[in-house]
Amino acid sequence: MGDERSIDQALVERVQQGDKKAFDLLVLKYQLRVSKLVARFLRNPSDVPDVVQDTFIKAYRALPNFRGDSAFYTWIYRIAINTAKNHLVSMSRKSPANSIDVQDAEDYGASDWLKEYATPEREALAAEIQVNVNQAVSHLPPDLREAIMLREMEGLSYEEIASAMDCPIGTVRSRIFRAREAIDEWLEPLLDDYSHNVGNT
Amino acid sequence: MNTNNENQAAEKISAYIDDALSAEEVESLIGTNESVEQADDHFSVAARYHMVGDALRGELSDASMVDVSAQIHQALRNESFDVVESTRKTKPVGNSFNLLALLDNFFGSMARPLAGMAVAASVAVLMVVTVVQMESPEGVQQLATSPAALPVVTSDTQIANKQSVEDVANQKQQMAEFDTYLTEHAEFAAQDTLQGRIPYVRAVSYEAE
Repeated sequence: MGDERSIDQALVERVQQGDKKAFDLLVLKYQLRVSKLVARFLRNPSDVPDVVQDTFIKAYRALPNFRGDSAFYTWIYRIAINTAKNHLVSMSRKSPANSIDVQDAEDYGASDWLKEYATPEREALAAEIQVNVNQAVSHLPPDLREAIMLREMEGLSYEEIASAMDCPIGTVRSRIFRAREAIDEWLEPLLDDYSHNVGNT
Repeated sequence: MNTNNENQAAEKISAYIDDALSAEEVESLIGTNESVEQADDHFSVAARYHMVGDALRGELSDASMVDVSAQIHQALRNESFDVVESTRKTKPVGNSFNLLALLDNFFGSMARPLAGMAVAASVAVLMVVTVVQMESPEGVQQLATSPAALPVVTSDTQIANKQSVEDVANQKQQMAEFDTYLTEHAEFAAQDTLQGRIPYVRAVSYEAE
């Protein structure tokens, strides 16, 4: 397994050489973390996608100047915070009184502050997704269920899961993937309905 | 995701978001020639896997459902990019040991400080050589007789020379007064100097004799 920072740095260097696909991989990896971070600063959840998008576009444009002194995620988190603050200024609103440190922001639990501003429809969807995911997990074969729970709930690495389940790492990887696919299939009708309704409204 | 290849790609993405993909496989993910639709599929796959993870941890929020990777991909498609003109070659992804790459990195990072030190050392050597030449009688003679060292005499330089001669005379007089002062107040000199070294005042008084 590659070390996270060295893989990120290698991807950054690929982008600096003009390889846009390497940047896509960095977006895949960090967009959720950046979204959560940005969501803590913005009062309107519907602004989050725009600010996340701006963050990554700014990062892409600034990448030629990134020398790798810090980790890529630390660097992009700073860009995200600045973009969120600028967005608030441009919307003539104030940022939350309690400032959140870059390193701490990721460790916060479900955002209570955010929930105050979430729309009822999205709250209902989140609750429904939660129920469906739990149902999907309960229908998984035991080996897949164990693998995905050890990964997502306990945060174990693939090596640790392989050791706990007494199987090769490749098997762990395959089980986690199959579990995710099964849950995703279970959620598909729900997400399709939601997209359809949103499209209609 | 129907075909085997698509499944393999999705499995790699699943492992990639868990930081469990080997360097070579990351390289292969970048290297695949996929269509726009396939790329968009990969983005949504990764976003859904993230969302499933959040749901399992009970951390599902609005932010968990944000997926802007396809929009970013679209926005950057026509973006021109100033490729970094670096002496470093593109490294393969990963941390496999490569002596040449290591040396390249080391000398790449050391090049600037080394160049600075080399310039400083050259200036220092030049100054030392010049001073030594100036101080030695041959050097002075050589300097004095070398065509480059011959002054272009103008009225301004004559005034300057006259002033510098007066300055040297004044300086000599001041030094003589200072030496006399030190010689007369030498009672603590032996205590103030390091063992085995001739006190300055003794040297001065010796020269005076």
